[in-house]
Amino acid sequence: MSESSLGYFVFRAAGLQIVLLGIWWTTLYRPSIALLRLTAEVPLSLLLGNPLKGALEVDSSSGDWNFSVPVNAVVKDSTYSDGAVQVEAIDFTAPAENVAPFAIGWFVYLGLALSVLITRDSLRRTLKGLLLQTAISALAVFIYAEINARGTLAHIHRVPDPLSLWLLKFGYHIDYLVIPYVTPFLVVLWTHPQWWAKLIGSPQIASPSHKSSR
Amino acid sequence: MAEGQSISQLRNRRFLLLFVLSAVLQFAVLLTPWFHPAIEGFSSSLVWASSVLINTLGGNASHQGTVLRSPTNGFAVEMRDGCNGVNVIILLWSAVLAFPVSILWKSVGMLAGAVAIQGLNFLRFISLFYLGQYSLSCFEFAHLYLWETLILLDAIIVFGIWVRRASKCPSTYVRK
Repeated sequence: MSESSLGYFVFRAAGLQIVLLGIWWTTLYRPSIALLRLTAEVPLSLLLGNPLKGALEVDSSSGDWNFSVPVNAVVKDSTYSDGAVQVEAIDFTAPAENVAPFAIGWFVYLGLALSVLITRDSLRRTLKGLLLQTAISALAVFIYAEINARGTLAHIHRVPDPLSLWLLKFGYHIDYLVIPYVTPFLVVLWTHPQWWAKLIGSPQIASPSHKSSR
Repeated sequence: MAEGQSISQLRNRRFLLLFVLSAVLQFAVLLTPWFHPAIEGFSSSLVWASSVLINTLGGNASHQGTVLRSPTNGFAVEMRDGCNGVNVIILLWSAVLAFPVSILWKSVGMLAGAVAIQGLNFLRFISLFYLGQYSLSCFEFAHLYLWETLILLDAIIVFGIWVRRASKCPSTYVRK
């Protein structure tokens, strides 16, 4: 691949990001958050099954996400009481814009996947990548809920454990500031090997189905 | 053929493992309390440089620590952790460190990558400073989503070009 065709590929990839993220921001913001909620409910209900209350409810008027994360912990040195405190669940609210970063993965991924030659095979791969991205985004929301709940629980202690606080900060940093932005790139590298081949200028990589038939 | 494929798969797995380990380690160091003053100082110097550049080119901006302010209308933008390009540099460095080339080539990749990312991040910060004065909605979109994605795209392109250059120079490879 020559330098000029690399330039075209890069220009196309960047242009598609601007177009798709622009469409998301102007018209598909709310539908994508609604879809994120539907997909996030799967791991939240499966892994955080709270028999008394749904793990996630959305306020229809404000659009806020109300989480209820079961923790079932006993806090012996609570700031709120002299004795031990039994904490069954942590309830907290996140505005829709706080969970929006988990919804951009679909659009970033699509922009990247469409920047290579579009064929029937690449469309099939794109669909597979979108499903994987959906699963990652839903899991990331689950981790977001869990970390926020554990963080609230840690601060109920009179003297929070510094190591626990640091681990929660680390987990939050990775889950909120890294995963939503990086995973579309990792998914496209996995589903579209030709994306990477174009970048490094190596000959076109055959799809796995072609490899197996040889 | 099958042996070649399995070697290639092993190399891919090794790269992935080293990439993840390196990234986790660097993020862990980044988030330690004693490292924070260094990052704060780095962000402040970026804000200072942005202010100097804007004023040199005829604009009007003042800086205080990590805050860049417009004296004309009072609009201010703060460079917080996550806005200074360090996250993306860590990811690029992890990929470079995991790639089997000589230490010299790794150093070249890390230095060139950091310059490329910070160059774009500089542009990002200054553009956000002006965009915020025009429209807060556009600012939010560009700040949280568009520029984040474009800087990551920049990092992966730099990594690809670096791999391309390294591949043309077989003596740079380290056989494992």
